[in-house]
Amino acid sequence: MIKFALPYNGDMDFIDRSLYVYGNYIESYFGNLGIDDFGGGRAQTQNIVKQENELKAILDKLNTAGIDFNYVINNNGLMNEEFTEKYQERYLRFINKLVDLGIRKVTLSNPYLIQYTKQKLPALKISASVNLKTRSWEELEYLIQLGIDEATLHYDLIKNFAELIRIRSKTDILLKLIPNDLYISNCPWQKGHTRMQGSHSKHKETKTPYFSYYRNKCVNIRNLRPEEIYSGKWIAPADIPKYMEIGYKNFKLLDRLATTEWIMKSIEIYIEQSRTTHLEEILGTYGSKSNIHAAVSDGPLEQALYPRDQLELIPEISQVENKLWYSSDHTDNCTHCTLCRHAADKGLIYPEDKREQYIENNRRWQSRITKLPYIKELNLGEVQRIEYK
Amino acid sequence: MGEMLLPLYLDESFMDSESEGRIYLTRFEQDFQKDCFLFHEARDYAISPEEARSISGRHQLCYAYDMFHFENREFTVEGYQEICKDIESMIDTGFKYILVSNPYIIELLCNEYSKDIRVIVSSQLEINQAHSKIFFDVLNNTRNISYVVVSQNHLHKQEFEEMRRTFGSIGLMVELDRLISDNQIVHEQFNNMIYGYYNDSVKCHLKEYIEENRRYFRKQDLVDQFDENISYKLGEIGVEKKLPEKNLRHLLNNELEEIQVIDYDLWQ
Repeated sequence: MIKFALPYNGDMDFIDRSLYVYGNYIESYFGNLGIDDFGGGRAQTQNIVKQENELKAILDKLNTAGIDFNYVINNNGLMNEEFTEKYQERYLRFINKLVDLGIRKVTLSNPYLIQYTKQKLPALKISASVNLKTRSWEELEYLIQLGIDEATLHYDLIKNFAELIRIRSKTDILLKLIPNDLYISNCPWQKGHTRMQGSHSKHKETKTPYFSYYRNKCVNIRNLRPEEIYSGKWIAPADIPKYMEIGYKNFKLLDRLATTEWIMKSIEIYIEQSRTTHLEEILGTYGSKSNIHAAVSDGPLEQALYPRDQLELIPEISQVENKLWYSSDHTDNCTHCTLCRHAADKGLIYPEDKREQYIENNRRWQSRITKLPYIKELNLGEVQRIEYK
Repeated sequence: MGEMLLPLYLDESFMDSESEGRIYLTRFEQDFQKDCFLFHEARDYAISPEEARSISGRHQLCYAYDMFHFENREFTVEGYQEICKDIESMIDTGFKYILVSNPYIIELLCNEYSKDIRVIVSSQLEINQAHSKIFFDVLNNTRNISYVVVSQNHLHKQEFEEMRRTFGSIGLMVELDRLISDNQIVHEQFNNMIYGYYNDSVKCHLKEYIEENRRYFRKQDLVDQFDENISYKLGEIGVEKKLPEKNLRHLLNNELEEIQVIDYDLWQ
C-alpha cells in the first residue's frame, strides 16, 4: 500500500482531518517549530511558529496512532558552527528536549551532525534529508555507515530507474521519493536555494531578508525552455504504480507552507492515481496555495518586490505517456534527446500565448534586483520574507 | 589559446617570470569574506591595494571572492554595500578578473559591472554538465563571464567534451590538483568546511575528515596531456609556492600523472 510522509503546515486541524480521512496511508508527518536555533529546509514566518506545548499535543495524538512526527533540522549552511562545543551543547540540549516531548525521528542534512547524533542518542531514528543530494547507492551506503535509518532520495533519481532499482536491491531501509515538486534536472540553483532557506529558518544575530530569488530562476527557466517541465523531476499521479512496482512505496508530499485544503487534495489525487490533466495544480512550485500572506506581490512590475503574477506564468500541464522515462535505459544526459521537447509541444498549454511577455517581465525585474534601491526596499518594514501570495 | 590561473606570490623570481596567458589569484585581507575559514587561514598571503595597483600594470590579476554562502547577508543593505565597495576597490586597483561563486553576486557583476571586471565562475557553483548552462541562460547579460571552473564531481571526459561544445563563448577551466569525489555528499561537506566561517575547531576536523574519507577522493581525469586550448587552474591561496610551481612544470612537461593534489598540504 502507498504510504505518505505529510508536511505539517502549522494547522492542528490538518493533523485531525488527515488522520481521520487518510490514517491508513500515513507513515509520518514532518515539520518543526518554525524558527529554531538550528534551521530547516523552509524559510519560516511567524504565523507557523508553534510553541512546545502545541508540539507536545500533536505528538501525544500521533504516538497514540503509532505515527511518527519527523522533526526537520535540515539546514545545509551551518558554516562550521557544528564543530564548536557551544553549538554541540545547545544542539544536544535541544534534541534531548525533543525526545522528552516524544520525538523519535529527526531529519538531518549535515554528515557531521548525523554521526554526532547517532553517537549521543543511538535510539533516535535519523532520516537523511533530500538536501544531502543522495543520488547513488554509494552515497546512500556512506550515509548508512554514518548512522541514518532512512532516507529521502534526491529528485535527480526520479527518472533514473536503473539506479533506483540498483539502490532498492542493495538495502531494505525506508526510502522516500518526493513526487510533487517540479525540480529542474540537475538544478544549478539548488545549493544556493537550500542555503538561503536554511539560513532564514534559524535564529541568528543579523536580521536578513528573504526573497524568491532562487524560486524565480526556476520558474523563469521553464518559461524560456518549456521542456524543462518534462525533463524536471516529479511524478505524475498516474505514474506512481511504476515506482511501487520497483519497490518504492513511500512518498513525501510537499509543502509545509501550503494550506490544509491544498495538501488534503494532493493526498487524494496521489491515492487515486488517475488525474492526467491540470497537473500544475498539485506541483509545489506551481500550484500550491499558501497559508502565508505577502503584500510584496502587489503593485506594478517596476515597483513591487516580487510581482508574482507578472513573473510566474503557469501553463496547463497534461500527462504525456513516455515509456523511456521509466525504463532502465533512460539516462540523465539530455544532450542528444528531444523527447521532453516533444512532450512539451504536446502536453503544455500556455495562457493566451504569453510566454514572450513573461520572459520580458522577468528580464526587467532582474535588472532591478541588483540595484541599491531594490535592496533598500527589501529591507524595509516588518515583512522580512517574500514568498507565496 | 587557453590561460592559466595561478596563485600570486610576492617575490621577484615569480613576478619576473613568464606571464603571458597567466592570471594571478590573490585578495585583500579585509573584505566581506574575511571570516571565511580558508581566507582566514591564508591571510598572510593577502596583498594590499597599493601592491595590487603596482602589480596590475604588468600582470593580470584575479580577485578570489568565491565564498559561496553568506547567510543571506548579501541581501542586507550593509552587506550589499560592502560587496559593491569590495568590487569597486578591485576595479580601482586594476584587477581584471574576479573568481566568484555566489549566484546573486554573479548576477550583480553581470548587471552592474559588466564593463569593468571579468568574471571567472568558481567550481564551488558545481557546474559539471552541459545542462548546467541553464544557469547562465536566464541571466540578462553574460558578456563579462570569461570562464567557468568546472566541478569535476561526477564529471568525466565524455561529458566534459559535451560541456565544451555547449558553453560556447564561456570558456571552461580545469583544476588539476584538487581533491575530487564522485560522492557528492563527501565533497560538499569538504567545501562547506573550507568555505564556512573560521573557528578554532575547523582545522582539526577538516584534517580528520580528509583522512577518514580518503577512499572517496580521486584525481582529475578530464585531461591526460597539456592542451593549449584548455585553460587551467593550479594552486590555491595559502598553499606554499613550491607546490604549484612544481605542478606547473609537470603540466607543461606533459607529466600530468605527477601532479600532486594540494589539499593534503594546504592544511598542514
